[in-house]
Amino acid sequence: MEKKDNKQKQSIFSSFGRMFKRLFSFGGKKKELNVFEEEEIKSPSKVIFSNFIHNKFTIIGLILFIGIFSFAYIGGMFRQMDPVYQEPILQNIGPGTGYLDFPSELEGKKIVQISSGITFSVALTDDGKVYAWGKDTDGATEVPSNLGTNVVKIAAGDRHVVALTDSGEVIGWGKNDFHQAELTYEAKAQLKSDEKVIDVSASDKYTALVTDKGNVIILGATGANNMDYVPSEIQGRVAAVDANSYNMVLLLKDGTIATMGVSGNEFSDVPKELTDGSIKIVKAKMSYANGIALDDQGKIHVWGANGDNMRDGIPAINEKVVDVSGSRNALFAVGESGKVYAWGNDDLNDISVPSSATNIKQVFSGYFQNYAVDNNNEIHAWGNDGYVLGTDAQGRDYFTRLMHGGRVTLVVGIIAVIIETVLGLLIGMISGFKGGKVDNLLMRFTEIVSSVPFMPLVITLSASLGNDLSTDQKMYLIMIILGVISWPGMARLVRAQILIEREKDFVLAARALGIKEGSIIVRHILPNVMNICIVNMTLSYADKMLMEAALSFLGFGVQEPMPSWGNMLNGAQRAIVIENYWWQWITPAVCVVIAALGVNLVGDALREALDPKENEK
Amino acid sequence: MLRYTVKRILSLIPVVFIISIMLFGLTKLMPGDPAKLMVQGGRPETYDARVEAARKSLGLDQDVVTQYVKWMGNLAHGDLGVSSTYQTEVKNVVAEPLKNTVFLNFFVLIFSLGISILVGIRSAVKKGSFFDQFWQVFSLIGMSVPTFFVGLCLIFIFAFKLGWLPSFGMPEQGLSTGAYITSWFRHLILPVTTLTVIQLAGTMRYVRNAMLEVLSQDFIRTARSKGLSQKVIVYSHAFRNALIPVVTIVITQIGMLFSGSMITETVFQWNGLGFILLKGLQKRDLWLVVSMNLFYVVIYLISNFIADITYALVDPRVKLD
Amino acid sequence: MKLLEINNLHTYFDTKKGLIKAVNGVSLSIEEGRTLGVVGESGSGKSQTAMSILKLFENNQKIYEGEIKFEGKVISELSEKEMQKIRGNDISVIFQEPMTSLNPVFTVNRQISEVLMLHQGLNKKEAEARSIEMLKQVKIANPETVNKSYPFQLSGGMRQRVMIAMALACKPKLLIADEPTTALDVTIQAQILKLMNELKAETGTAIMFITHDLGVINQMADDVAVMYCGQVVETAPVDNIFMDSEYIHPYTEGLLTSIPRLNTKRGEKLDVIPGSVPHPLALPQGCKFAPRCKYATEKCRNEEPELKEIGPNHQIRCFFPVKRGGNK
Repeated sequence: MEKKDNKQKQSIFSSFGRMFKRLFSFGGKKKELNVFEEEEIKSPSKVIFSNFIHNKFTIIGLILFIGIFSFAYIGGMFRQMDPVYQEPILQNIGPGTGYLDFPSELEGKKIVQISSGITFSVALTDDGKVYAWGKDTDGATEVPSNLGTNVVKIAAGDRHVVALTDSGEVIGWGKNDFHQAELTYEAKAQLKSDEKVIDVSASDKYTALVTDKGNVIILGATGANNMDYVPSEIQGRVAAVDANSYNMVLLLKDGTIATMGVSGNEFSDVPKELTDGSIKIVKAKMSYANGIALDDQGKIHVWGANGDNMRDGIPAINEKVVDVSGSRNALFAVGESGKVYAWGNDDLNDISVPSSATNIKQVFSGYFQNYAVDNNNEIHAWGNDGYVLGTDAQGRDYFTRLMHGGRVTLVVGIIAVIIETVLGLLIGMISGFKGGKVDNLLMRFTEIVSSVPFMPLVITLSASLGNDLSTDQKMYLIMIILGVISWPGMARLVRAQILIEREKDFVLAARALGIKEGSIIVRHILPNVMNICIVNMTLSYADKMLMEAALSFLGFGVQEPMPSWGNMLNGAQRAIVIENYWWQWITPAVCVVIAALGVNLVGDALREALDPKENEK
Repeated sequence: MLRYTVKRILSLIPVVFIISIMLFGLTKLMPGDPAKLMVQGGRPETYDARVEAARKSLGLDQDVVTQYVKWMGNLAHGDLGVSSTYQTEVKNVVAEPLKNTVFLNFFVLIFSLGISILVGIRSAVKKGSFFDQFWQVFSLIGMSVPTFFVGLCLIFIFAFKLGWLPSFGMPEQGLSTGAYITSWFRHLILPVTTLTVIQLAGTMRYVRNAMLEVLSQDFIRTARSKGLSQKVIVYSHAFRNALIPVVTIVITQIGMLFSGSMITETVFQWNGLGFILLKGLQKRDLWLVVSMNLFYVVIYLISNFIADITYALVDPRVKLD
Repeated sequence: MKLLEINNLHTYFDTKKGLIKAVNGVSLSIEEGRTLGVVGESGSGKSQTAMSILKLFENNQKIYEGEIKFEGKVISELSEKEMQKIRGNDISVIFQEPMTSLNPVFTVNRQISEVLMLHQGLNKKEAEARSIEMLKQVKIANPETVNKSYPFQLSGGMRQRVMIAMALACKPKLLIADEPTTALDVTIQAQILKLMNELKAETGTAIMFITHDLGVINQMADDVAVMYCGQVVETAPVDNIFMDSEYIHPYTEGLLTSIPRLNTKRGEKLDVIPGSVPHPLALPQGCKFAPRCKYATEKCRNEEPELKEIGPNHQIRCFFPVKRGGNK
């Protein structure tokens, strides 16, 4: 009896606590009971819980949702994202990895040369054979079967490969839309009868050839970058060439350096000591905007732009350098001791040289792949190994953006639902408990808000209010709009449930027993209202994610560069994306579907579990 | 009945009034000067004068209250204002899209209703069967898929991969009438399918649940004890009762459909109201946006009103007075 | 002559937790023109026995064993199509809940005419006239108005009269009344019972009257079958049960002594049967009633008794029938 008195004195808060405990707890002390006794003894909440957890849809739903949730949150922790990253030549690359997985046949063979394109690499061994690996684009990895074993030089451009045989023959394959992979009639015409091509280098849509007479011949699309213009003062003096997107570095026969291509940038401004003959250069390579030259004393000279501290951030090298190399965003030097020095940009692991790379004699790099060959002819590879889900129109890794985009979509949905629920509960409860004029007024208001069609209103609001906002603020705005506009449904449900509960016999009985109104509300009415709330929240959460996706898809939601599953789909308004870049719209959409389906399944199972009619069966 | 109708219509007036103020206020929040957008290009020396003229023609030179009153007055006469993008009356701008949207939604309604009633009834009768489970899963997935994704998939498969149907847009001009109509229908197939699939998911579930509810009632047992065949019981006794909740939800949905087809119209570049609204928003076309929103509201309210009336028609227990 | 004969009927529900043996070996018979009262607590299987006759089953319910003969013809094996011809025509039913047993969106006329048009091939007009006639027959004062009404416009008693009119429309040979008065007020109850007795006298329809109320049985039935846990535990002419027979089943005795009488003194305790009906999935071994029976012995708990004849038309399922008044 004492216990009962205490119970009545308990504060509203502890009743609240118990209510939640009842909603979410199960088990407790277990006695040996047979099935039927157990069923009769179990409290309703335990029945609900066991129904809920024994529904196979619950399990599927939870797995789906937890899976996608951890993908976004836990996965996102491991993969950092630079939202404004841009690399035009990496844009719209299809899914695929293994750019660095060189074939096992190469092991133990003597490597003469390795050259890399954007997504693939080719290697030449001393027996004159060519190997190719990586992701195939336009047939660049399909080494022609008629290629003999007399290849002496090889060069990979962005999507094409050119090989040079000992007889000076030029054989190309891969993308050839600008005739960058074939010795055209015009190019042949530039060759004198006894002239032989001895060096080759290739880059974006073009190939540069050097002949034994010191002439440079350009194949492919170069006009826009002034790249086919070979200054007359260097023609006839060239010994070797290294090509990059907008420039080429030429090693002249006299051991000086010259450049070609876009002029007037920091790169074309070669330090004087490299051009006046005071230093004799033996090897010259370049990255995107920097040149690196190795002189006959084993010293390196770097010039060009200082992005990523590439010009001024050269590591201290206290030994003779034996080889130099440059990928697109990093420079490399190999010391006498076989140590590889790397500096530059590490976004794609360009300077993350594996620790196993010791006793190196040579480094080959191109675009984003780097290979070091050691004294035992073993190959160590690092750099960009590819993209699980390809890249987007800015060259950003889609997989990473998908994770971070998931965070945004999931969070926007949750906050919107919380706003919706708080407003809906508040207005529904005031309406339901107060009744009378207040109820009438609030319900009128609810009717007005809900009679404006959802999608047009959200879009109009987003367009009107969100113009001068930052990306972050815009995201908050979307949360608020979605939450603020969708409360009427919740308010109606809550109000209706309160009205139903108030008329129920046990509430009337409680009132007749003189139990305080507040206590009745908290103990008898609210638990049922909460049930409805929880189900509705779940289902509404799935809805909100779909809304965010639709809104951002149309361009009125979360703004670039902040990713969300919705705005990642934004590109899919263009036919070319739908047709050719399928991963850019299928993957985020599938993520939305999985998340929404998971939540819907759980919500559905919850509703079924809470439905007293279902429990009777 | 008549009294109820009149009462109901009268009660709508304040709702429309408040919403119109809300919408009007919204347009004032929209950034960008529609007058400036209207006169882009042209000779620079006459720019200011032309902006002034545009401002006047759009009525933007008056104060906000006057603008509102004038707008409402014009609305009452069926004058929806001037669209700044199209430089003509909104009425003329929306005429063609309205037709397109109505047709689109008409077909969607026919198909989604027809299929969901048939499937919903069968699912309820054969609860737990493979048929039922299949459609349950279908509807769950359908409710979890963004509309535009269905559209994109259809475009990808039927337009790009198989090449059976046109991907986007409207039939080109200059075709003969017969060819134009054929092309028009071919363009309609994918959007209609998209919306039907999405609609189906929800409505079917609704029909099924309503039928299940009815089939568990005592009077169904009575009907069986009278020796009626399963068909008569399901399609006459049960469905007539299930129709009561179904009719309400379906008619309310018609109101939603019009605004709901917006995304689909955009995906397929179907020249409908939603498509026009989006374009209007991008170009800050004030009156166009407001008129569209108001149109959607009116459609919604009308369909709600019809739902109430129909409710009384299908359920003898409801008396409207 | 026996109109209906049920032999060793087993009707089970197949649920996730196991077979629920709702009807577990019932044998009964109804004579032409007589009323059989079936009595028992809720869950005793009396309603399910009745539903088995017309095979008005849930999806997971079916006859596992036994047969039902109607007019000498086995009807328990008939297909759904053939059953439909019997339902509402030869055998019809009145249910317990008059408030919900009529279709709310159809008029009374439509609901009665439907049966007539289906089984008797009447056209709409004839059916309507007959419908009004039927309403008159069940003593409804304004049959024309009621005929045009929707169920929600009628009171509970009126609706039950409509139900009876509908059930009797095709002049069935057997009327199954499944607790037809339980949901009604006492005064209305009496009216309905009186009506049924009158109609029976007029039409000679046999009635299977299901109830948990022994008082109603006494008023209505010619024969009585007492059911417990899906079995018939005693069957006898009504007079035998209420006074004549020397021996009765302990359960029947319990039911009889638990009826409050007008002469029960204030403060005097009613003799109630202790405990409750066992869960259908956890039936006791031996006699199903043994756990609640004050006379039960070891034998009762281990062996199941058979239904055996102890007097003319009087069968009891008990090893040790109680001598009336003797053992008290």
